[in-house]
Amino acid sequence: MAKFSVTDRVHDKYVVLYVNGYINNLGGEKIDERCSYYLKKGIKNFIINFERTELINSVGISILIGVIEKVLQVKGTLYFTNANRVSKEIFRMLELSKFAKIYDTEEQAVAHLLKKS
Amino acid sequence: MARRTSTDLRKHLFHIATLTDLSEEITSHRPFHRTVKATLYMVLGTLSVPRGAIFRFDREELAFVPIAIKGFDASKDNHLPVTRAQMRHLIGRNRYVALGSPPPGLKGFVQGVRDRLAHMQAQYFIPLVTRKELIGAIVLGPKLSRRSYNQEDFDLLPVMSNSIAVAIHNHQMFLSLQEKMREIKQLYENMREIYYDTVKAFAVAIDTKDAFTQNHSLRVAKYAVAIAREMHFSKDDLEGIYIAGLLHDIGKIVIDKVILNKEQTLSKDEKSEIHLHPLIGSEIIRNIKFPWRNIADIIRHHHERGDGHGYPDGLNDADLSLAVKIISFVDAFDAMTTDRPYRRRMSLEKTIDEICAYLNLQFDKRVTNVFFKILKKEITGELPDPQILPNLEVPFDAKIITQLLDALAYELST
Repeated sequence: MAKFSVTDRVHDKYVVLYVNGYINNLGGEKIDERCSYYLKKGIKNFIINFERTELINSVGISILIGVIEKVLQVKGTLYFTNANRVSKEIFRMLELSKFAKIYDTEEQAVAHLLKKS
Repeated sequence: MARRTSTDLRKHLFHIATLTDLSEEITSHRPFHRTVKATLYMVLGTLSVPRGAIFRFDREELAFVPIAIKGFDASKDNHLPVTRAQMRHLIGRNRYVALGSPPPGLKGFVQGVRDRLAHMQAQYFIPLVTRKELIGAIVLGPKLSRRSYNQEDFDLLPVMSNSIAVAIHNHQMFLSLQEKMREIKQLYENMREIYYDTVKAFAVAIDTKDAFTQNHSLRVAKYAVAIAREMHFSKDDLEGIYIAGLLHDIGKIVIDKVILNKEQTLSKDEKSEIHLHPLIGSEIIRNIKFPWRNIADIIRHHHERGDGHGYPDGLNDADLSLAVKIISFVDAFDAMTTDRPYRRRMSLEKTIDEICAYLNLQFDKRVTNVFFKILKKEITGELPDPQILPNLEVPFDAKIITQLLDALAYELST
């Protein structure tokens, strides 16, 4: 299993965070750290791309809830994209989907975000 | 209906996975604070709750002390004091306390918790109890969706909280064991100190008896350690040889003072009496349970020689331990470089000649070689903490001795 990492693509209106690896331990807090970094820079819209994430457990959910809270606090928008079927079911089951919009692809999320703004 | 069943199944699978993760986490060797934090995240993630904390119960402070926090300000005073009566209530209850509707007997405590944890909008307080002992607590804030907690959550909570209670309890037992270990180690260190002081007092008593051997035992101990260190003895063996050096002449305590300080040649009987001191010394020491090995044997054999002409047992080179050879060497070296009742001290140059003359007969070649190397290093200032030169009371020409030692180093290495 490759080491967990988060890379990003910065646009003037949003940031896409690419999560690489399982979000099943405290290493996943890197997502929260990157998000906090960009929030401090004034960016409020985030897309988290889970294409390279096969597994998210309760620790990962807790970390993502932390990200949701931070984005909501600044009245920003959060999108989850490219998640596998199981992860999407978990997001819905635990009602994260009420606070983070779920799209199949990053492009769909970007289109929605740009249309909205 | 089918969708509902599928979601229920997914939820059950997620809960089972969480419980598996929880077991794995609490039995892992990760640092305790990481484990507690991970277990808190597991509880919060499973219940979809943004804010919560895990506390340990401090029996001395009579308060819950936070050990993992998520979603609120950790810098605030989050200690939750509790009275003994409330403590008993919590142990007896052993289930969650809804902070919005506190049970009788816990109203005061709940009010305190609500006030202290207002910033996390605490909703539930779950005491962690193992074997009727209060271990800590989990405090949970509202759900992300702001929905109420459901029965499924309340069914899952005791399973998770029991595992966390066991983890905290085990850690506390580990800490208490560690503390006991520290105390035992300290006691052991104190005992060693007492041994050292007692042994030093003995050494002073031995050397005081013989007017010509003031500080002889201390010098022998220091020289022996210098050689042993160069020969990479372990820490324990270095201590052992130091103690053996201090006590090597303890048998002289029972030898007549007149004989020890006699300036004329000793009679045969007087010599025989002096020759008894290694035997007497080893007998004095034999029944003392020293933390170091072979002290009695070193004392018994410190006048043996490699050629078999030593005493009391006339052992050969192969029968002598390295520690014996070291003590025997430095004992003779110090005897030669200090005044004795029957002769004046020798110069350093003459002492070195004498050692070379008795090489392999009285003095071990390897020990001699190492000692000469140390001596040279001390003369040239290569050793930061010299042990021989500061104690040497014979004047010498550094240049001549260095040249002599260089030549001998070549000879001894071939």
